[in-house]
Amino acid sequence: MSDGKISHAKGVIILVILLFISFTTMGFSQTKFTIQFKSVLFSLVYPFQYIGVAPINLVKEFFTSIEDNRQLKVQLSQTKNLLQEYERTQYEFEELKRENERLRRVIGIQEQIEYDTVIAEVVAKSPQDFYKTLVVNRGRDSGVERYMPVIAYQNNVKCVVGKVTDVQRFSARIQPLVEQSSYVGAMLKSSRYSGILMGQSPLSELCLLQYMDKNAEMKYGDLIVTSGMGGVFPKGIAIGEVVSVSKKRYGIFQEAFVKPKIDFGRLEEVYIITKKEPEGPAEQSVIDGEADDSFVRGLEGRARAERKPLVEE
Amino acid sequence: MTGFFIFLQSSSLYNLFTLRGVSADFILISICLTGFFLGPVPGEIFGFVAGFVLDVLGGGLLGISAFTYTLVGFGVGVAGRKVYSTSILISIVLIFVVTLVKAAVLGMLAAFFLKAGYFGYFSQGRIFLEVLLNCVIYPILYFLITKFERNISTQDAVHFNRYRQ
Repeated sequence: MSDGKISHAKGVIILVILLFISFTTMGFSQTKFTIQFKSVLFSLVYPFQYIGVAPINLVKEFFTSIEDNRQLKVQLSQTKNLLQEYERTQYEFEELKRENERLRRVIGIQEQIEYDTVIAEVVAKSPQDFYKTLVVNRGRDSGVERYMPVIAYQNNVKCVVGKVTDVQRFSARIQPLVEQSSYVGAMLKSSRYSGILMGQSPLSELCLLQYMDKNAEMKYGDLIVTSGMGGVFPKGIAIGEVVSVSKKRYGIFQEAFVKPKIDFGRLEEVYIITKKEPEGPAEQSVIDGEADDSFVRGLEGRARAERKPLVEE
Repeated sequence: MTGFFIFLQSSSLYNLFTLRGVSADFILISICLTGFFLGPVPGEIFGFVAGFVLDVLGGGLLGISAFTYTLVGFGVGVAGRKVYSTSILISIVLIFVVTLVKAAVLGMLAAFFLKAGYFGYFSQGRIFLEVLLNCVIYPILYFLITKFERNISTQDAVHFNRYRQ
């Protein structure tokens, strides 16, 4: 027998043996012995597998980390852009939220006001210095009429703004109480002494409270409110605070300078009180020199009758 | 080399060599190369050991891969002795046939012992993807080894060729 044939026969024998072993193992694979044997073999082989696989995984992780790094940079850039967008959205949201709260407050205030009102937005202010007016976006179509009183809320306080002096269909002009031709019936809240409040603009941003009884005790910080006389302004609406008092030695009246509670620079919304024309003694604004203020004239007459040389005290 | 391929197939790097979820069988390739260049006895022994290790690590039916790769290693060894050639075409045909035989043997054994529907491997066309991948990788390694065989010294060649008989 040649070497080739012997070698071939050897190969066949080995083949048969190995196939037999494999086949037998398969046949007994579900037996307890085989399972345990497999388990033992696995525990022997596994460390080599772990050691062999680790370097390969390391190489793979090295190359994938390069790609991961590149992708992370892209994601970072995208995230930054997204963050900027979110910050813009957040800012807009905050703005909208503030606007919403403000409008809710306005609506809430309107519901609390015991009068019928029309909310109007201040859209413009007169550019002139010597004659100040406010322009609002409500007019005849919204029920606004001339001489209607106008109030506003600032710092949760209801305050006098002025009166409507001119009305168009969709807009109206308001004369503020600081305007020199504006007269409002006023009284000291604490003692209920009444007088007349007159604007002094452009000479001063303060109002002059005149014809206040000399017996009225006034001091710095006292609150001046509407007296309701004349029927234009409802009674009890805050006008301003006393900043200085001028009491003359002779005469029956005293005067005081009043700082309005309203900050006209921050005025955005006003409430126009929709009422009828005043029935009682009028406290109408003086426009173009014309006045129909019998109440004021009565007070002036009384002052002239008892006028004595004035000496500043 | 077979050990390296076993570790390779166990690692996550192996995912790089997949095509639509099917990967080349590097163990089969290494057994074929062993059997083809070293002869049927080394082929069947290496096939048995590699298959057995695969079964232990894989957790499937113990002996199924050992049986299959033993058969493959012996068959390729015999074929290599008969048609030893450096032709790439021969190597492609060889691995083509061997891959199909391996799949058939595995399928029959699984059906017999596990009552498993292993033939889904054929019906879904996955076997053809494996054949394609094996046909691409095997010739490359075959070519490299033939180059190596030519470049080794005479003494090593004698030692090398001794196993081929």
